[in-house]
Amino acid sequence: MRQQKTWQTVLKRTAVIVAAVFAFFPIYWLISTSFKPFDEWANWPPIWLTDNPTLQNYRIVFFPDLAREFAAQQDGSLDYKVSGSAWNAFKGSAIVSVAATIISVAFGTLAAYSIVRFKTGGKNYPFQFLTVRMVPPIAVVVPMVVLFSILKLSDTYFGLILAYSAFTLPFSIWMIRSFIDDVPAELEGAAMIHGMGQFRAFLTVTLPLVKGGILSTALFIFILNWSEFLFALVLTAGNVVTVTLQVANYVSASSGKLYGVQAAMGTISTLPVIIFGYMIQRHIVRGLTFGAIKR
Amino acid sequence: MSQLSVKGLNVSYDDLRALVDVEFAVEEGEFFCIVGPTNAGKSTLLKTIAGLTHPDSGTVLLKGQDVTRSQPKDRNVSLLFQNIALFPNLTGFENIAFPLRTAGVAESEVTSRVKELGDMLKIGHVLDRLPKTFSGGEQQRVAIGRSIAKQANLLMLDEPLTNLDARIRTVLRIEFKEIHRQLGQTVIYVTHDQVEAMSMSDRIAVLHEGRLQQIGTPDEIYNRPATRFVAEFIGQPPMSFLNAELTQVNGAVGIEIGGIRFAMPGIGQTKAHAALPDKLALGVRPEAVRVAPAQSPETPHQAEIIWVEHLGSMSVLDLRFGHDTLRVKVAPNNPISAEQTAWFGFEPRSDHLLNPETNLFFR
Amino acid sequence: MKGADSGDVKLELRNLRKVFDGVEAVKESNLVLKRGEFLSLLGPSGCGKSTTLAMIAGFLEPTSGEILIDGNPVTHVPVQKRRIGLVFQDYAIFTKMSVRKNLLFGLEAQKIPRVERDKAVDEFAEKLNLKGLMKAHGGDLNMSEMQRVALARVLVTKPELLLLDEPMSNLDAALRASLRGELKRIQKDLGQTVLYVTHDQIEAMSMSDRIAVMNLGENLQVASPDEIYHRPKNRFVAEFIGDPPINMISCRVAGSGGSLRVSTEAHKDMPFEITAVSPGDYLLGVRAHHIMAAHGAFQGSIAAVVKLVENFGSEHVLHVTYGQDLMTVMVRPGFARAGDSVHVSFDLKDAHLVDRSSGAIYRPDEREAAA
Repeated sequence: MRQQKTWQTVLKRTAVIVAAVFAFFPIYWLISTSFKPFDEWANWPPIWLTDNPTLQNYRIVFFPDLAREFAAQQDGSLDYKVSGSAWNAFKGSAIVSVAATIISVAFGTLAAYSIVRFKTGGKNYPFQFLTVRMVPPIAVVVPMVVLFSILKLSDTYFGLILAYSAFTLPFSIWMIRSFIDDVPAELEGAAMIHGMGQFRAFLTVTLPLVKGGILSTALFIFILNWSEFLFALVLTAGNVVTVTLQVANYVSASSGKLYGVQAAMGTISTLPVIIFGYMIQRHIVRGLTFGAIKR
Repeated sequence: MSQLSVKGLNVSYDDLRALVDVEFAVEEGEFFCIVGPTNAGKSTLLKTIAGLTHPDSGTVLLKGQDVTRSQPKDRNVSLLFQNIALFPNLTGFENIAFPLRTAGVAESEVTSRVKELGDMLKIGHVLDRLPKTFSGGEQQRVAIGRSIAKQANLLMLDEPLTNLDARIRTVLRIEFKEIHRQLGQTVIYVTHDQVEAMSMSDRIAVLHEGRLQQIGTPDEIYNRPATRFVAEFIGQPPMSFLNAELTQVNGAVGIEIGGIRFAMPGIGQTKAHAALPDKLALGVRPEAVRVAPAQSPETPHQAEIIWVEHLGSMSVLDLRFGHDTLRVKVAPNNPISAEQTAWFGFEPRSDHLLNPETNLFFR
Repeated sequence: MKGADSGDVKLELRNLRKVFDGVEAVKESNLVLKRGEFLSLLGPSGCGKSTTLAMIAGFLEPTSGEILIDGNPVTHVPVQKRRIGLVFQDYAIFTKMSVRKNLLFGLEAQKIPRVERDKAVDEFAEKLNLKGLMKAHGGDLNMSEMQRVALARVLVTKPELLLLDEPMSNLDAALRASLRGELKRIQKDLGQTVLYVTHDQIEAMSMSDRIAVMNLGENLQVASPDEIYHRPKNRFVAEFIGDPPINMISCRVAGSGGSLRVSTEAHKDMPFEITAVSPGDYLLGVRAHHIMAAHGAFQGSIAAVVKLVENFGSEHVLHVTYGQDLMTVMVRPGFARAGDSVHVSFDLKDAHLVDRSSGAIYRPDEREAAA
């Protein structure tokens, strides 16, 4: 407010800087490592910024043949074998994450609408739904594997999409519920009185107003799906590969973990999420209902 | 056949009985007010008539047709919500055009109708803007425009003036009446402000805790209230109630209040009066009492003025005699202006005798 | 008003000004509030009354000007050090706490010792009739009880000044009427200095010792309710106070110097006591209850048609045609119906002469001398 003492400001600024460093350091390290040659990956003391930047790690990820040629030309380059191609992993992640996000958000919206407008399941239903998700996923790994095996869903796109949708549904419902709750029922009521059926009123009036909320929920769910590792690991057997699995696969018998390659893969795989987020930010507008509702 | 007929309506939410055995009819072209305190069930009643809620039991008939279970869109009624509910992402024009476009009206007709309403409601200048830029009064008018855009069987307004400044309310009240006169539409107007209800309606229904207390013209409700609640709710300041006892005055039946005896001509002339209990209550309207600084034939009884409120066009006095207090309204030029001893007089009305146990008036 | 000398000044605003984004929300406000006085800031939404209150409380910093409490400048003193009590809209009672805890709250915040705290709470519980409710939950109270608890909670800290910001605007009309009387009684009994913000002129009229009528950031008139009602300074004040709103009737002033004559529909060249105006078209402000009405013609009356009847229970208000204007007349119930023809007139001495462009109201000299 008024006279803020200088030391208070300095303290605040310092705290912010420290937090920022903590938050961004992993990302900085990731990008930095992705350009390091293999002999600089795990040095101690750590090399903050390499003097010998190379694209070899990226070549290994995207153009393995080219990378082999390159490695053959240079002495002391690493010798490795990685099964599968990164392109396959990107494809797999894309299919699974996008499909699972769409399903989760679509069903989540419908369920949330039902819960908010018709109080389906009673007062505590949303919370009950959420508590189910509070069980650590690793606890259900074994039953899931068994279930998938029985249902012949193992190592299929459909199976993984189903699993991801189910696991993220509670979040979808929980988040979208609060957005729909913000839109007063009277708006739909007004639309119904002026000639629309309930569902049409929902589509025409409420949906545009919660569009921003749904998109931000979608982004959140997409991030969850895109970065999921555990179930991708146990529910697939090589046919379906995701980005997270691929990163884990960059291990060589002779050279150990290929940190640089992993870093390159990691850096690239953050791009879709960033792009998605950037695309939808225009649509997340607050205060959309100002002036139309009296509280 | 009535425009609207509601019979035996019962609505409950989560153990709360919002409406209990509500029954009334509204005639075509009538300006019908439903008045009552907050949470009396007024909004629930409107939502049930509109079809946004289905009653537990009872029927709603619109122009003779049973619409109790129909969808709102099939009822052709219009409802203006208490919180206005304008579509925030549509302009003023689009909001008002909404019912017409949903009904599939030709675009040219839509445009001319919206313009017409814009002129009538003096909101032509906001039609191309979004609701968040409107003032309170403008929002109200656009919402009204939307609700009358399409001719409906019934126009219902839920506390439309409650959120506006006192000054704007007074002005809009008159405008409402004028719009009603021009359109001739059947209107149900809900409010908690009895001044609005009294000054605007053809008939009033008083609602309290989900039950209808009385239905009648403003004069009937004011002069012959049926229950204590109605008597105290309608009229500002409210009716005072004095504890009375039956007694003999000059050989006829009269009443005694605080040691003073009053003759009651007209008592004993109705069936209800045939079996009056000894202990009663008498309702007295504030304007029925005369007060003067000195004793006179019109003001024969002595009392203490314990509170004075000057309101410009009138003054309100609290008059204390015995154990009773009377709220009195006097003209601004009345010489009494501060706490003092004063003299008063009034004629008790036999139709304002109340049974203190049932809180019903003897009729 | 109670007689008081300058040592009794509780609150003083000197040239208080607030500008938001180039808009003057409060213009050079100069106000003096005496100890024990009940002053209302009355005006429509956006007139600056809540902004003024926020500056006095300390939530908003003035653009310029001074605020003094008991003669001490507090303009830059933080909120919690100003010893001001604040009651918000809807009272903001702590619903999960008992009434007793609610009342103790402010005292605990000020670190008053236990014995003193309990004594103060008991004292005010007694004064505000809350003894039986001390254990009740904040959320279980009715409106009247909530008002008393909100007041007690603030009064128990013995504030220099009590500020209320439209505390009743969300309440039912009937409730407002009964709570008004209670609030005023409590204020009078305790001699508490109060600044009350509202847009409802009935509230201001019934409770205040003085009213400051505000519009667009300006204090248009600061005077007793009686003064404001009977001698408004300008058109805005005259139209804002009084229900039904004052009539504004077109009139024409002719003549010059000491002998001006006024004409309206019903009046032809009547002598008028105001001397300091030039001839031209003006307005006459006349209250509805000053208009005389009868079924038949009488001295000075003209015929008028009843367009609308408003039923207020104990009286009716007729909206009648008066030449080109529409006029409201207060009559007894049943006097006339819509469509009837009646005869109306009014006494010029009950009328205020209003300047059409500036809205200023001119006073006749003799009334000014008597005031």
